Amino acid sequence: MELQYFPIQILLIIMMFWPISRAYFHYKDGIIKLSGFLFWSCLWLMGVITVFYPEFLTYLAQLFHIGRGADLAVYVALALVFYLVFRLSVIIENIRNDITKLTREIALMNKNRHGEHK
Amino acid sequence: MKSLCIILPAYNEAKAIGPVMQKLQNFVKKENDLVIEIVVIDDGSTDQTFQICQTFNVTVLHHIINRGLGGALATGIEYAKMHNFDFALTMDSDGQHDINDLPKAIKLLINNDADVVIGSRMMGQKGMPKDRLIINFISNVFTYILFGFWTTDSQSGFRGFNRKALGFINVKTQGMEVSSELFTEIKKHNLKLLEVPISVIYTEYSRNKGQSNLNSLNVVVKLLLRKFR
Repeated sequence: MELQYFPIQILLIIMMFWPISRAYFHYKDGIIKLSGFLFWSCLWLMGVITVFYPEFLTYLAQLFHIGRGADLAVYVALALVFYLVFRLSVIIENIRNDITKLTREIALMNKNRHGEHK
Repeated sequence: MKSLCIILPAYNEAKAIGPVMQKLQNFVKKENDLVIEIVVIDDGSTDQTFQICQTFNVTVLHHIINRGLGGALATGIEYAKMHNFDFALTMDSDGQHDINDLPKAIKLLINNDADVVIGSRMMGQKGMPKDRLIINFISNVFTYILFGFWTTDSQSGFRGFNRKALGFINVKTQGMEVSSELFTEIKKHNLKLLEVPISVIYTEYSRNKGQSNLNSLNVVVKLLLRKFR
């Protein structure tokens, strides 16, 4: 079987390997955990696979009784984005609570009474 | 002798807090049945609130950054718990509350008639602008729908707690939605709640400074998020 790849596909594949490499270096530097590296790598590899074999997405779409592979990709991407936004909002809320706890601790430690200075 | 901690969260209240402090100090001098400590939580004010409070015989806890009403109240409640107060009472620091309403709330707590006392502006209904009456009623309905607790003034800043209630209350919200969150805690721990009518002193200053009507929508959204998180 002769494989033909359009320039856009080659470009997309190269572009998708860049975030995988960033994820690897972040993992090496301890910025993200192994689970994070694997998650993002799998995500981008899925993107590479679909660029290589667009028919695969069509096959999956038919499995789920969805019209086109591109539609499936959009639905999955949307669900993923909503999930990530939810996770981020939880993380941000936790950070806010931690900041408040710290502020409280400092205030209680530096209690000021009638002109005393700490 | 029993002890009472009067907690006043304050954010940029330099224009109003001086007279409030003076009135409270006068009240403390006349009160012989309780040991009272006034605790102001300066919630990251950028004006002279902290400096003004320092000139009075009060305790000032200073948040280095603003954390919101809930954050400030939680600090005050934490202070009351740490120092083993028998009772705690929260008030607004903008002069909206009448010091003369303190004794009726304190009496209910001392006599063990209630674990929590809420000062209700709706019961008094003197001096409350019509738009605030409507917003308050809507807030009461939301508090009931979301937390299963009916009160005539869910947004009141005038609240009293006995030691038992202080031990249970655990404020997690940070903004104005804390007023409604407290009712969740009251219901969760089966605390006995009584409401007392209080007067409300609205001035142009307190109206401009206080929660805007539009912010009520923000409070509802935050309460919904908290409920369904």
